[in-house]
Amino acid sequence: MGQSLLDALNVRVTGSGRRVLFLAHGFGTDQSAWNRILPYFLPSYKVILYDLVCAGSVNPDYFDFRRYTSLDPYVDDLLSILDFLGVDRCFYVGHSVSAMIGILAAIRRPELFAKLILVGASPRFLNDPEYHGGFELGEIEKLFSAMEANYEAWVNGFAPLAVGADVPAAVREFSRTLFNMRPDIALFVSRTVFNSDLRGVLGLVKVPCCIIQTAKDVSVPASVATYLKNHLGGRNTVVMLNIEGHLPHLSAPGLLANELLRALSR
Amino acid sequence: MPTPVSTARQCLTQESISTLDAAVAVARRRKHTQTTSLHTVSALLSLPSSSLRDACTRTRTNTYTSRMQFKALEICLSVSLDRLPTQKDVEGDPPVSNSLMAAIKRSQANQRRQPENFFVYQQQSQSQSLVSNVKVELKNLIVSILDDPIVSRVFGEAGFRNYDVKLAILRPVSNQFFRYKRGNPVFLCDYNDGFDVGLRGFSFPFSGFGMVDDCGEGEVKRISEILVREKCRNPVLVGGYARDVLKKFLGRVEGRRLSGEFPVELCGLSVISIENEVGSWDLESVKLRFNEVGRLVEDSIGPGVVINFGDLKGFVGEGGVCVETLTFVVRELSRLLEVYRGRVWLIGVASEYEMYMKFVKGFPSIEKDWDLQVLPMTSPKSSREEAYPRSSLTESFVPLGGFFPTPSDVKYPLGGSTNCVPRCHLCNEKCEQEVTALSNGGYTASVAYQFPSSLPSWLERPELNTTRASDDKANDSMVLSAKVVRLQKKWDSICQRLHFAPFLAKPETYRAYSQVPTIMGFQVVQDGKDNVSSHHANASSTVTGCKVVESSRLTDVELNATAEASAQVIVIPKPVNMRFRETAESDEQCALRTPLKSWSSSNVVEGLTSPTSVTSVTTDIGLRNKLSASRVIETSPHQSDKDLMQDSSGCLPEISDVLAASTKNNASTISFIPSSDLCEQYDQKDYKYLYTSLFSKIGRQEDAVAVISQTLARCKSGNGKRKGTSRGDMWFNFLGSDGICQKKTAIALAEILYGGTESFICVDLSFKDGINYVNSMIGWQDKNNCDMKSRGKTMVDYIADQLRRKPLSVVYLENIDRSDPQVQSSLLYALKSGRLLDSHGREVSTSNAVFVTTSRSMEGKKIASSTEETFSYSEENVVATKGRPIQILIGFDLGDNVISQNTRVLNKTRKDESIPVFLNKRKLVGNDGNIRQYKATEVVKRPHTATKISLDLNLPAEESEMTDVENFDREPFSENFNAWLDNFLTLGDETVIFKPFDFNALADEKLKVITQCFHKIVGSEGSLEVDSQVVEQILATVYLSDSSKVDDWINQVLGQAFVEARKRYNLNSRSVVKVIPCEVQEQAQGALLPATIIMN
Repeated sequence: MGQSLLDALNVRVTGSGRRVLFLAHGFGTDQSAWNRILPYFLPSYKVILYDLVCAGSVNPDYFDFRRYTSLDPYVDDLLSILDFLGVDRCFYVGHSVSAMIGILAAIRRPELFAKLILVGASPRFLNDPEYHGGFELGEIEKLFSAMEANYEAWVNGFAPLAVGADVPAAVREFSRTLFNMRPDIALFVSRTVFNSDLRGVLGLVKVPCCIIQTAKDVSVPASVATYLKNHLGGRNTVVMLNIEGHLPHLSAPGLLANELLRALSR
Repeated sequence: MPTPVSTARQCLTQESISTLDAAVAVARRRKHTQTTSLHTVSALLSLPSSSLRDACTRTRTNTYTSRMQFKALEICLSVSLDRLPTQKDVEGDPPVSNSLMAAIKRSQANQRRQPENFFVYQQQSQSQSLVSNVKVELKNLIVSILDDPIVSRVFGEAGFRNYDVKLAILRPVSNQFFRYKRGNPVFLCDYNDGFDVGLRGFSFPFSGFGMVDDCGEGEVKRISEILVREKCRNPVLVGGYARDVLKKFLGRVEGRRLSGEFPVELCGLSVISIENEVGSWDLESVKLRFNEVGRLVEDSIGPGVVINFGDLKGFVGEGGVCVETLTFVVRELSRLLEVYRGRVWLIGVASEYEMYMKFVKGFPSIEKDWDLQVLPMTSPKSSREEAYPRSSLTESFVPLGGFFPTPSDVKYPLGGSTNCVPRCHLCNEKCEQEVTALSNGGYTASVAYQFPSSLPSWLERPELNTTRASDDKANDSMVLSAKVVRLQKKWDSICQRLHFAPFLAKPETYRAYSQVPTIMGFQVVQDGKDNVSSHHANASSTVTGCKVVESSRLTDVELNATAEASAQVIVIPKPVNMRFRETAESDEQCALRTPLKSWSSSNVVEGLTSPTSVTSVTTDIGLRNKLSASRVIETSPHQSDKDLMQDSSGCLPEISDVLAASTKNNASTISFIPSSDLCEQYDQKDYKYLYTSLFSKIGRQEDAVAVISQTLARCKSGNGKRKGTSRGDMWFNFLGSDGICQKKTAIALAEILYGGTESFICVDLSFKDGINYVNSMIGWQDKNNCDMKSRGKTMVDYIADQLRRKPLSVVYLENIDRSDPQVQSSLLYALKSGRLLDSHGREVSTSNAVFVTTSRSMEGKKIASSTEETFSYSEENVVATKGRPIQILIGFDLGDNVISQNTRVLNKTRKDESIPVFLNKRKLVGNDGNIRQYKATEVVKRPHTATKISLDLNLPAEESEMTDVENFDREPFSENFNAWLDNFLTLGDETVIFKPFDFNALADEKLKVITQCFHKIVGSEGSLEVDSQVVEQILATVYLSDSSKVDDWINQVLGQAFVEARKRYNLNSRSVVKVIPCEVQEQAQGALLPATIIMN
């Protein structure tokens, strides 16, 4: 079972270091998103990469609509990968939805994680009276109907918005991976993500976290980073990157890589 | 002559007939004149369990994913279908084309020849001798259709080989052909969720029939898993959705509606809720209730009792609690747990973990006593229904109409079973259910709710309620029959829509899809309206058939409106999309404008003129402009060395709005000047000439300049290290600490060798955090660097890019010792091969460039730093100095010892440093507290200096390692770093050592000048104290520009201040004149030394 899981999710282990670094990509990308920053870690880390089951690079048949109704099954996948690879402690870098998954995984198995680095993370995307998640209900519904109506058009509109900075290569790359997702899966996953609410459980995280947040992010307002810092139960730091976009690993790989190295060594 | 459909049907078996019917339907939808083989193929592929698709899956090449190949097939097919002639008004079914008929005939003949059928047909033909009586089986039909040249071309275009497919159809299915096993991989680790492999289709919405509330299986399982544990068996659900989950879970436990995976040992649990008692003030009633609870627990049969104590809010007391009651409740519950160990469970919720923590704090031992286990709940339980893609969703969804589903697609909830029945079994059943429910008086909303909805529950619920209300109101016998009729009609339409929709809605969506979004919306509306008028039952189904729930809930009368409404709903995406694009554009522009504002005004103009252009175009423009602008910035320091400082401040983005634009125009002209007057005048091989011209530009570091010019001359005359090759690149390594001089040297090299500073590429490799030394004096270094980094490029990309533009240039790479591995490897490669690889793998020739790398540390070469003494003024400190206003304070020395006429340097502001220079006896000055405070703020303000200090060569390396952030950065690479640096330095042409700038001597000298000035004006009375920061400011000025300017400043500005002081105060031998920096706001960038001095 383990091996088939590794195959299905394209798990890749590379690098020559002692310490284990787990790179988990976010919604709309796959593990190729890390390619630009991977070289920075290869000399000193053993890097594990995988694709979320919803990624375009995974056979869509593996996506079971009955199973992946919440984030917990994703956590199961993550933990079973770690178990199968015999990892007993790792640094976890999670972007967007993977940051959420990492939080949940660290609640369940805190001993596995030496540190969580959350890039563009948000515990909740919807606004509440006393919480600013960045999205109103109506907006989300519009987003979903836009996705439904014409996925390609949505991708083409959303990708530059998400990347934020004027980096055509990054926009191209993100559009590619985003479009690779089967539309129904993409919609399903984004519904799952938007329905999730991690705010109540943040205090359960005891693992130290580093929250990396860009100054301008369409999906995550900057205040969320502060919220995370204040509510996560461990020792937390916030690093604000003075760049734009939800995907710093695509739009500013060098900068992010150095921030990650710094965060890892702290 | 085409054959009528009915004739063709006669030659087919039942299975083949349904295929043909589907094909005819496709042709009719597309308004084609004839039904051809292509239509049949399209129909075959869209069947849920199609042998043709199976065959294709088995034969596909491994080069592409099956999804991709199917998509290709889809596209090819639709393209060919589009080519077929259409007709406006369709009457009846389009007849079967000749080619298709021929295919049918071929397969008939084939079938007769097949040995197993031979005798049967032999007999038949003997009796009836009619060819048409041979019923063609689907398999044979497919095979002969594949022979059709149009079809085989389509398949060929999609990358399928015709004969392979045929073979796959004829061969019996054997599993070994499957590339991966079709069964799902089992993902679950924690619990074995045995999802049945055979259930390929997506039957969920219907499988959960009896269940009104379908709680997520996963959550039930997770809760029950905790319940069966030995320890920590009482769950507390934490999270925003915990309440709902608990309610649903308990509801299911009570209602015995637990599915198979619920542990057997828990079957028959009963539930007692004491939720209301927890917050109660009435102790007596609570006691009564607990007596009851105790009895219930005692009497309970089965595995035991789950006590729901509800929200922890009640315990921690939002708005006051009755402590007595609470302690009683807690005690009672603990007692129950104790007494009926193993038979009593507690369960509760907390909306936030903080709440739980409060609770645990309030009752310290409770976590152990109650054996609690926190269970995070992060997703809503109804997510399944909501998040479910609607059955018809994929149609409009998959690009190009989602012609046929990939194997596990969600499209046909009931598989192929619903092809022919007018109203399928399931719908019938549901309809009956509703009818009975209606006649009972209660309208169950559940039914409609069961369908995967287009609306999330929060939108749906209110509507449902209103429906129910109105139903209740109007629920008398008069209306009932009408309602039944209406319901039946409704189910008819639901059934049709859900189960026939695939065939009906496809072409619609497909066509809509091929259009531009704007047109799409329009077209759909049109369709919707047409259909409303023609046959209302189908109305909304043809409108891409995705508004199932909505229309199903509404009545006939409203149907008209619904159709329009749903049409409108579909239109919505258009403006949304548009808005998306618009925001994208405007954002793009904003993004553009922000950097542009600081870069050059001309860019903004360009950015504005292209608001309607496609985003990528705009971004391109933006990027290009930025780069050109950055080049401009680089060129401007060229003007002259002497006022480099002013220049740089002029180049800072704040002012450059106007400046850059003009410089840009000038840039071209500027570049000509040096080339005309300088370049040609001398021979670059002439060592002496090189030396003098270099030295005149730099002004110090004679040895280094000598070495550089020697190497230059040697390389230029072809005697460099890489003698044999034709490469003209040179690699210098500047070691040592005189950073400014190194940079000046590099700039001078650029001017001498390539005739101008525009061929000077400067990158600081240690540049990691995106924050430049904005507050430092050499902030002119490279502002562009910062922006470069955030634009999706790595260092190497930037260097390569610059080199591509300016192959003839000096590449100045600062802090090579702090570079990242990517830069290191590509630099080494460039040094060895003469080509620089960027991160995309593209190569740039470096053979005409001069590389200058600098490193502060001497680690690479073992050069004794014996010449260095302990500095009190380190380069880092001096460089980091900011221009502050300077003030003069007059104090009086009340101590006994009259001070000699000595000038002292106050070193209060930097206590962390070693020994103050001139301090004889430190005295408490009147406003020392003030200064102290100042120091504190200063430290906060300048974290840079703090980190920089530890880079001081004089400190032992071990010490700095643990404390220094920057060293941490390097730590991961440090193992192979030294080896790399050694290698790099030996391969380079020359390693030039720069002597450290002697700040102490300079400080001595300048202080002497100040003292002289002081005594000249004030006389020999009184003493002078100069703050070390002021000294640093003076030093920095000397360091960056030159010494004579500082002397002028001392004599004029400072002298003026002394005159003023003498006038205002009666200076005597006991007075102390202090020159200290003001702690107020910083001066504007540029001048380090203020033009006036503040007097108090």
